[in-house]
Amino acid sequence: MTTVEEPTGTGAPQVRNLVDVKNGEISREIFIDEQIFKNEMENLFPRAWLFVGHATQVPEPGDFFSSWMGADPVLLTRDDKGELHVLLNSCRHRGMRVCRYDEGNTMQFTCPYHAWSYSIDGSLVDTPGALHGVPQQKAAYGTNLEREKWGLVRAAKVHNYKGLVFANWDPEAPSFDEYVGDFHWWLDNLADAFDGTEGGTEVFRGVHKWRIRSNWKFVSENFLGDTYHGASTHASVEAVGIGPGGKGKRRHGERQDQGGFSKGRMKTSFRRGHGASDNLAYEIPYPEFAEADLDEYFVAAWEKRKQKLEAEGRLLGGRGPATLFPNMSFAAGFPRTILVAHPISPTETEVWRWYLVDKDAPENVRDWLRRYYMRYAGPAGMTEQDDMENWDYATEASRGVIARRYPYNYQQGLGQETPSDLDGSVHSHHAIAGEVNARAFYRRWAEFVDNLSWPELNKLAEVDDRAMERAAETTTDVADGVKVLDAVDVVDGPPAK
Amino acid sequence: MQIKADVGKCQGYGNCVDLDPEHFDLDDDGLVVLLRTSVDEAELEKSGAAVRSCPVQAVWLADDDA
Repeated sequence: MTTVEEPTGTGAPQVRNLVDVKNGEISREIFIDEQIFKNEMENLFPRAWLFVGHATQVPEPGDFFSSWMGADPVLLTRDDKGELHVLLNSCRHRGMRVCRYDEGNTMQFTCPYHAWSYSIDGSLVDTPGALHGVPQQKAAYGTNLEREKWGLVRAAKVHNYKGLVFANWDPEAPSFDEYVGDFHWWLDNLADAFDGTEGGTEVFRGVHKWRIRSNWKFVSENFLGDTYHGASTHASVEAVGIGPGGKGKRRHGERQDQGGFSKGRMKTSFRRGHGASDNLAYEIPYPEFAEADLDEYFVAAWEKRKQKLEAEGRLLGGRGPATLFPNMSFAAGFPRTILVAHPISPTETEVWRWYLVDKDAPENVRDWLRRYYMRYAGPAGMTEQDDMENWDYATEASRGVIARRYPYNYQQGLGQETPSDLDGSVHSHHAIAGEVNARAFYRRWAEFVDNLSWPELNKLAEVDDRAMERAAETTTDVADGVKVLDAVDVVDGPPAK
Repeated sequence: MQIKADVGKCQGYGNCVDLDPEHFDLDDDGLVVLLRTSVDEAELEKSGAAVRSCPVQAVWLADDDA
């Protein structure tokens, strides 16, 4: 395994020794070890940008939505000025959750235990989430309680990206834009309407929530570029025909005749750990529907989007599936849904699914999408069931005493990455094979879990060494008159914006 | 306007006393007592803020004829 320098962190086990990116081998320990899980909770989740919820879930002042950030329950709230806040759902007195509802509207959260009361919408106190009253204040504290010091703990940074709301506990963390980089093109396609209207989406009411006996990382890895599992894992789904075209058509609705539009698919892997199963030049039109009224809606949407984006000099691809490091996965096409893998223990994950729809979609489109989403994803979704089976058994198999002596193989396309025009990224060498995305994800994961400092983490992400190595090799090969890297010319368009 | 109180709901947060000590106080049990119930026009803003600040809605304003 790779030799690594001493970590600057806490002296915890160096997980980088278990993730051998150079040789494409990763230890099974990282999926089951209690101490590693603890280090993930301490060093990764409190420093990463995490998806909390959608702005359309809290449209009015006083609205709230209960969510999680790593090991901690949080409340996404909106104040009377329209601002969003992310507050730790734990009373400062004895820790009881101040709110036990999934969502709702309130002026205040009053803890069920001793009734400490926190104001939420900003109408009662200057700072939403501030402590607003404690029972028997005079007798209990006299004039000594400094209320301003005992408000709910708040996320250091909150960012609303076209309705997608993210938060970060760490005031030292890079800005959301820096953390995301050029991966934002995938988030754009997720958040924009099917016709390209910016932020023109909302979520269907209600979030699917369920638990699986799997390590959370198998979930993230599956969506960030594992196109390799589709043909085997989802064979039965394809046979049934759950997609837009019905029986005999693909589950994502890919057209057989794509009009010569697409320049071929490559996966995209970012040095910061994000990954996508496609690239921006993979421009496939929306599906062919069995129902004429749906065809009409989506053909019109595609035409409008095509005109809009081409006028902006943008390519039309980038629908995923994809994962924003570390645990927000999504698909921005068919289906269009967000999945967050909340870590519960090394071998248990709570999966949450949000489903997006165009704000302006007519009832027939909404209804079709709702049914498609449910038969595709969620605890009873057919494609999801296929995946969950794999993740659960892979987790269980990571536990075996003998099994643990043998690492997993992540060698697909090792050393065959191809250059990308997007910042800090490379492409896979093949559309279906290629595990460059997973290798990048686990490398970044290890850097966080080993508690490298922000200056170290930022420095490592500044330059994509993979792209540099490939570029150097290509130059040498061309000079020798032998071009080994068969130029898969992946164009990713201007990262303008 | 008149201030109304439901002592059964009161938990002695005392927010009302902080905001409007001319109308509100706490008794020996730490629960609300009304020093005066009538609120004139000039006092409305202060008393209104006081009743809104109650985390358990134990105090409120009502019309004179209510």
